[in-house]
Amino acid sequence: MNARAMGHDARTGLRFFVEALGAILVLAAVTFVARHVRLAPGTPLGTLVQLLPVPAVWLLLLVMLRHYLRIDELQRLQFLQSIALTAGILVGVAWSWPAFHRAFGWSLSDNGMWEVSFSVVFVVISALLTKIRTIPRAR
Amino acid sequence: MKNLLKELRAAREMTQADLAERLGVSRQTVIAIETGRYDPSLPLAFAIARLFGKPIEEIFTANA
Repeated sequence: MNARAMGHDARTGLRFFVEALGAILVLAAVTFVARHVRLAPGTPLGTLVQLLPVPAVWLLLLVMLRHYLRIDELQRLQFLQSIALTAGILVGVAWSWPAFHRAFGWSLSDNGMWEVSFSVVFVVISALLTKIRTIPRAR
Repeated sequence: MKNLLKELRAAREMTQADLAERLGVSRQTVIAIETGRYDPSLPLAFAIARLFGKPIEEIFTANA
């Protein structure tokens, strides 16, 4: 089946999947190299190796942007609503966390806490928005 | 807004997937418009009107 014979959803989904998979593999590879290749810090080559993940992260963002430009208007709306709500929820968590810290002594882990939280909240909100299509207006 | 998209599509024996492909949108968007859960943008509404050969106001009407 060629790309033209596929529906809009399958076509955009497949392109995103292929591009995202490629970008994630590149990111994983350069992150592995940056963490495991031991070069003297401060040398040009050492600095270059440490900076390898930076373009890979931006490549992932580029993949997201390309996907955004391919999806239709309702999907864009849902995507933007999901990002906005996720960011809002996490800002709320960040701002209220000091109170939890003072009250219960909870402390945040630096180990990918925000990335994982963003991903989880984003997926949940996206799923909810897909079910109800868009956030309905208040009556 | 209410719309006649489902009736117009059925009259032409088109599936939701056919219509989505003709409009260049996802099937979910066609479903959302047909069920009134999403009001399309003006460009998409014009594309729908053009496809069915009818004026926009004949396809989309205000709820009130």
